[in-house]
Amino acid sequence: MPDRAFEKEFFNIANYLYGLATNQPTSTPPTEILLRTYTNRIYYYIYHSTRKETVYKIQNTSVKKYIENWGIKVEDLFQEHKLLREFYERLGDYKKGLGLEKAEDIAETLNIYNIYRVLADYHIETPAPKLGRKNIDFTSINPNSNAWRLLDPTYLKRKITKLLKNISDLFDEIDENGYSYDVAKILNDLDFKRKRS
Amino acid sequence: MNHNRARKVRRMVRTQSSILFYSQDSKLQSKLTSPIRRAEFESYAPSKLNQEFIKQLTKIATQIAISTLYHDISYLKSFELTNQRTSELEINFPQLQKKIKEIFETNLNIKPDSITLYKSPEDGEERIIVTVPLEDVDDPLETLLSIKRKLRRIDRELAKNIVVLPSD
Repeated sequence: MPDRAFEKEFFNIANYLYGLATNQPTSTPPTEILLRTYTNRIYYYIYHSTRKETVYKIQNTSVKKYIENWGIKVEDLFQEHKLLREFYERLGDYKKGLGLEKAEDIAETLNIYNIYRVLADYHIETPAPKLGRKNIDFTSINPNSNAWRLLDPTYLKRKITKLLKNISDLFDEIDENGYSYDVAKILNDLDFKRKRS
Repeated sequence: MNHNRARKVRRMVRTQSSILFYSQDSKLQSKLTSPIRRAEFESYAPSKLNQEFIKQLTKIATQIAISTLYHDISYLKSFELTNQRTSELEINFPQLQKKIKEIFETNLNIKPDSITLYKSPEDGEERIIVTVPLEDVDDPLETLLSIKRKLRRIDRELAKNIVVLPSD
């Protein structure tokens, strides 16, 4: 479970309740706190579903052989959400034009939702007013707007099912074409860097 | 004069010895009853704030020592990252802003609403956020991805640092 994410949520809610209890209400409205928790949950839902699928696929393809030879446990992969994004980015970069465009798209969707999450979590003063903190509020968001539609649960369900299908197809392609060694190499590079740091 | 000086020296020695004595035993610190002595003691002994500061310093020092023992520079690098305020992206940002605007307007026929540099406080990752107006689109995520795909074909290295979001 992502303890860090729930810490943030807990802090946001507890801070608001403390303000109510001591008659010193915080400047953040409750709608914003709700939206923050919502965006946080969405990102972690996407992250966990993609992580589950990738780990399952690695276990059932020939990538597993190489990884075990290098002394990496499959269960320990992608403990950080940043690693998952980096893995798909590198996979997209690794070989151009070999049907790995799906990897790039997966990395990009993860990037987009990660930025939404971070924008909702922190008070950041971006130079553009449209991306600022004022825009992330239930009152200011138009339900028919495109930014809000990306966070719509019914829309998200369809997107995540497609994302998971893309991942399974991608790993099947890798297994068929014999790129499993290259994929294991990328994983090796990533994990060894993290272990030393 | 000599007599006075001797008295002074004797007093100094007495106070310093008492400070040493009391600092060694924490239980005896409570026995400092006279306010003058306590004031003297507190003037020499480190205050509570300083004690906490020293604790934190020792923590950091031990971590640095461990990292150097294992030939690991990443911990030291983490300090650099926090202190380093200007990165390559930040330095080259005004040039990149113009370049991105040109690419979007000439090759993709889209006028971006805003181009901003963004640094996440969690990881320290840097990305350029480009907001794009999307009007009457069935699938907003796929249109964003298609824009990114086109961008990748034009300039692959630039596209790595860009994240496209809807402006409204």
